[in-house]
Amino acid sequence: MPEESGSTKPRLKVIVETSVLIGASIYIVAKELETTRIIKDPHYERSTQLIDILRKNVKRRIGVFTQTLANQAHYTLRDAVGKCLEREKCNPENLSAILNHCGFLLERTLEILVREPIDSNVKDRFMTDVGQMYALLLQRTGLVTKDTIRSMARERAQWRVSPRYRKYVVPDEIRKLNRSYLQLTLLKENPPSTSDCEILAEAATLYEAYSEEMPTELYLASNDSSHFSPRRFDDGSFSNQVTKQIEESFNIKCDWPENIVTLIK
Amino acid sequence: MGVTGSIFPIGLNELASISSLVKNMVDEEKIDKTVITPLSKLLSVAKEREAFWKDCKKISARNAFMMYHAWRNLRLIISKMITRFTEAEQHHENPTTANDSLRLLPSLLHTYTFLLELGERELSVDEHKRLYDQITILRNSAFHTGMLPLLEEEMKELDKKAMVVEFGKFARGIRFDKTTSKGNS
Repeated sequence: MPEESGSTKPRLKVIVETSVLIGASIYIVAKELETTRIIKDPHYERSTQLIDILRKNVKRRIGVFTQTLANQAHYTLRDAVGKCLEREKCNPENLSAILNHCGFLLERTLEILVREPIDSNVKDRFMTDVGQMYALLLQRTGLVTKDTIRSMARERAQWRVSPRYRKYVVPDEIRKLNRSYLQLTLLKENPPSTSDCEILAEAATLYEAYSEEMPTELYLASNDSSHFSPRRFDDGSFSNQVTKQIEESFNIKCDWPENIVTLIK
Repeated sequence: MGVTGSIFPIGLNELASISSLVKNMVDEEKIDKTVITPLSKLLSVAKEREAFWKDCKKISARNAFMMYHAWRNLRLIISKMITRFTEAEQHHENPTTANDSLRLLPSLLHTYTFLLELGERELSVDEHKRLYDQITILRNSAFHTGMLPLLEEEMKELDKKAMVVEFGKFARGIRFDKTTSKGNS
């Protein structure tokens, strides 16, 4: 059933990325363990906020995933268990129960999302584009050095205050500039993996397929601010060089799950 | 006991017997408690294999764990099936239990025969993934047929405090983004 068919408003689709699928699966409550301790993923609240609203609106078929995303999420769980076995020497009985529990939560999340097929030829075409986009962004990160930030800060300070006060203003400008370019810095520290590129290539494939049917606004819900979602700050400012480039190149809007919730309500 | 022992043919015979009894129950719309005998034998096989793989050092730790995990899940699900058949009349689940079992049997059989095929050798990356996927299919099928033990039931046999500590270690091993969406202002 197409979402909002007949209306002039583009339909809304949300791809639930691996980090959100995992975020909503790592949780164990006191009731289950007869203890007051609650252990959860740092992104549990924001991830479940989105999953809950998608569950309530399941008939609108807004939330989607691909087989690659599901495989990556299951692989993440399996791999974490492997690390616990090898590094932490955890008890296999406990790990089996943990894997069962988290896998169960993950499967219940996947059940309320639509699994979309991916045309591998189209995906391959987009993989090249995605690779090029990230390569250019990584090139751009080379320009964000301490020296360039300092000279930009000095230039800004020139326009703000008289020479007498510049030495007080420059450090503040450096801090602001570092923050505004934070997403690029994070990308440099944590370059995209093949699976990150695959996620974006599949999202671009879906956007192309959706747009052929009807105007569509496609969001990628992600807890990953190095490769997808903007880096947001408490004062309302943000760093979004990567996010903006993704939207310009592929028409995909990446954002944190809690921000996408407001669009569905 | 290894894969070449007599236990595996017994397991297969029991599965065939369970399938035939369950089909009859569905046709006749009546629970036949004789199914509990082959189910209990199958349960013993799963228990023995689970114990074998728990401390097995013959193959890599990750692969031994996946084999252990698969047999443990088989054991948990078969135990739940036995409980359902035992309590079917009491809970007025006659013939629902038989219908549910019939729906579960294909994935149970598939998992069992796949484990049989894997034996006690090292698994390839593909086999490791296929086994995990098969466990997921089995557990989903068990969930939708009411044959999956609740977490509380599963936890009864575990040390809960140790479980909490190890859940923490597991959760810490998963980090996509070490910081939150909000940076320092």
